[in-house]
Amino acid sequence: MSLCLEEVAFRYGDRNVIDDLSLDLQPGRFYGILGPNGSGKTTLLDLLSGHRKPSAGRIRYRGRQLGVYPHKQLAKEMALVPQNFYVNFPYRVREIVMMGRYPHIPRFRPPTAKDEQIVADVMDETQISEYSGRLVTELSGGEKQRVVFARALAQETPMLLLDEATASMDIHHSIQTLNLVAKRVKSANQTALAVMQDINLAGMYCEHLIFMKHGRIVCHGPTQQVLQPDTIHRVFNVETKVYDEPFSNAKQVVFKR
Amino acid sequence: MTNGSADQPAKQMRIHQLREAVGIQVLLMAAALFLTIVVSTRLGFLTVSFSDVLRIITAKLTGQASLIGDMDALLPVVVLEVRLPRILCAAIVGAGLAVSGAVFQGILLNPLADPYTLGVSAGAAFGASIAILLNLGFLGFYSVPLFAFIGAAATLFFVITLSSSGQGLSSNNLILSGIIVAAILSAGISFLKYLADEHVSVIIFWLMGSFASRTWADVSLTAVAVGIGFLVMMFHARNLNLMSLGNRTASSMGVDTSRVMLVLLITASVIAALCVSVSGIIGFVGLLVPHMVRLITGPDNRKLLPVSLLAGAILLLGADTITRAVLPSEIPIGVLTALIGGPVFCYIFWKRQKMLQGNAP
Repeated sequence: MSLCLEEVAFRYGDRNVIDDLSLDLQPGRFYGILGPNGSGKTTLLDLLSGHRKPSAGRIRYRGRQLGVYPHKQLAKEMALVPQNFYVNFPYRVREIVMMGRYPHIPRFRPPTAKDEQIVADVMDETQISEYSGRLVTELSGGEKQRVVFARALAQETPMLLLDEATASMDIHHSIQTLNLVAKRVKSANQTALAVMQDINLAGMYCEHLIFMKHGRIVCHGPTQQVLQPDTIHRVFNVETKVYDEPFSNAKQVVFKR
Repeated sequence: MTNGSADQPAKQMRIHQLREAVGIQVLLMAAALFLTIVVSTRLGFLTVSFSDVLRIITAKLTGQASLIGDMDALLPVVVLEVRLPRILCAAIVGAGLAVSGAVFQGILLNPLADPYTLGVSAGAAFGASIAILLNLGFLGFYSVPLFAFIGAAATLFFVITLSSSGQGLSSNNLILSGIIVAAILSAGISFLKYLADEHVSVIIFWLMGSFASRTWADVSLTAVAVGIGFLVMMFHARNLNLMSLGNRTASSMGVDTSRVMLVLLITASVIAALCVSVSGIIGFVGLLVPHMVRLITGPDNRKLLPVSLLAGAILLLGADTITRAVLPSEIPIGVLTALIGGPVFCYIFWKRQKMLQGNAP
């Protein structure tokens, strides 16, 4: 399995949001996407999840054009944790997580015992079992985000797209969530592609980093190689020092004020 | 995880009970609807006893004329040709407006949405006003409903075209386009009323809605439309659930969001347009019933839609029976639903605000 983009472009009006972007994603890896606001990160995820169609170029998934996959089948291949975790109606937390199973359950069939089990397991893993019966509209932002994340895990897809999926969580739950993703990448050979704002968390968890600016890839490669002060300066225009931190066993970035 | 296996049977049990409870809710509501129909058939200027009502209906359904042989010959006519068409019409229109409102609130993600959000009622009113003003009688009795439907359908088409310029349909665009078009049409209706002179009371009376002198043709027309529409809605009920997580998420979970949105918008609006054509403008049913039902069933559309269907039928039939048989003189049904529905809505709204306040940290 691999996801491959060739000279992909996406125009919104007359603005190039994604411009001549080529990328090859290998299975079983944790990729991080870093870039300033408005650099086209979310649009890139939209193109990969099939929510938007590229204006030019090709996206291939498992060797076939992404466009030929029916929506329903794609939903069994990729799950998305969106930036916006707002839920409009007062569903129970459990109902939201069960929605992750919809792509696997025929339209008029009730969930099977296996579906119930997957939902229960995912809620245990993400530590939201205690909220199971509560209304999602009553939860705090970070709690809602964990519910939406659990829903994506329940979808049980080979590929996981995360759009700032931990942005509203406290540091404990951010680390716990990213640990879960990393575990699935390691043990279940899932592929994760995460848009992140926290460069240090990205450095800790992602094996590969993709730096984006103005809809183009500035540089991408193994984290050890590309997480450098000059790259960060080129992309974010901030002064940094990058060093190996044995405590987190990863590269860490400190900023100049 | 450790207590997962021990909890499992109990959990399964609870889920099973919950699902059964929904079945029971629907069953109870259906029984209540049947009872309401029988009771309201009995009520009226001429009181018909329960057993006579049941006998007349059974005789009609089974073709056994002997069942009503010893009865006053007027009773079957009153029941079959006057009361039942009106009663069934009121129930079907109530059902149609309620599911249409539930779907509008679901797609537009706006609790204020109702079947008329896209200007369907204003379009129907405009069409009906033209038919009345020009005294178009070439289709006899049906010209006003026909013009109302054409007006509603044209408005719907225009509003959807207006709001789909650019990147697909968005709920804000739809609501805004609906409001603008409805405002223009309202001004048009006022102008037509001004021109109408002595016909103005006919227009005003039509606008306030009525089920008086409905026929079996109205019943079958609305029944077919609401029936087919309801099936389409149930087919997409689960997609509608996913769309409450936002279009981006729904899309990633296998929903073709723009197509589902368009199909449901058109289905709900056509139901609303037909209902308005048959009965005039009846407000609040489509807004209120889904809100009330959601308090009982929760927001899952697979439960919300069937229960709303039955609740809408019972409520509007109840209201029509009150105005037809209980009040000393008949007042327009649209006025009655607003007079009852408005305060009830205020009460629910007030209760909910209080509840949310109580839960706030």
